[in-house]
Amino acid sequence: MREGRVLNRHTGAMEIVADKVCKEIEKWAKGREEITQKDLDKATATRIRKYDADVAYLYRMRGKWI
Amino acid sequence: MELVDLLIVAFAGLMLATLQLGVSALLLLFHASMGKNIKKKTRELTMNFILGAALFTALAVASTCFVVLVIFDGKMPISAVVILACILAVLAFGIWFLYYRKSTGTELWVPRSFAKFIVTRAEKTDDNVEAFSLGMLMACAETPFGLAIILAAANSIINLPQAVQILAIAVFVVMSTLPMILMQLFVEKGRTVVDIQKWRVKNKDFIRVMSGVGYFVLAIFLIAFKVFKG
Repeated sequence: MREGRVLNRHTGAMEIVADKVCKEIEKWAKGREEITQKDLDKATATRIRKYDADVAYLYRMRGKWI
Repeated sequence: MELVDLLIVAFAGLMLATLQLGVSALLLLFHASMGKNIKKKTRELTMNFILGAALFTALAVASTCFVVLVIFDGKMPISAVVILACILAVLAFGIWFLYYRKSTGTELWVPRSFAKFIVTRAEKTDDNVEAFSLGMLMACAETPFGLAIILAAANSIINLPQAVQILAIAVFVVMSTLPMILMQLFVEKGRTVVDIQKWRVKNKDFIRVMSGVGYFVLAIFLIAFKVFKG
């Protein structure tokens, strides 16, 4: 949501994207016993990229600026 | 000789500009502010950040000039210049092999706790004074790689006529804050933080190589014009 605001994306659109990505991540995580933070971030970024490449890029770059 | 000194000052400023900590922090400030403030507020915060960095750089150069004046009586001895040139050469290797961490982003050599501190401060910056002090802090944090550059510039500034010294310090400050000023202009023109960060990641290796080469070139300038000719 925050990354969407940075890029002036419509809040409603970002809410829909966030909702869809959450549901996809729930499905992805269901069969797995262990998930690392890196796995989760990668899976989330991949799914966000389907809807908005720039938002996915900002999400992937979290913690990698400095 | 005055022209050579001015060129050394301008080139040293350019080399200080290639250091990425301040630029990364400014981009982080853009990113954090754009998500929660209006454009005018973001512009004020980032301009204060740049002012803070510029002021610290100006004060650092001016005080280094004073130190050179007091300790070396206005002219660094040849041995000190040679040591400075050697330090610049070593820093060139440092920039080539140590400056950037091995990652897909633009992570730098700073300890992770300090990086987290910068991220937290950039996200919580809400007024101009905080942005100003963050700019000063970032300029200060560049000191390990920047002090030798500032010393080289100060040694040249001292040799200039008094009327030109203030101009030389201004040239140095403008050159060293040029990337931040350009970033501010690009964002004003409509570029996003994504465009700028993608550009930085794509050209990371080029900037690293050129920065190291620049440090070497500055060391050679000092040897050529201050040791052999001076």
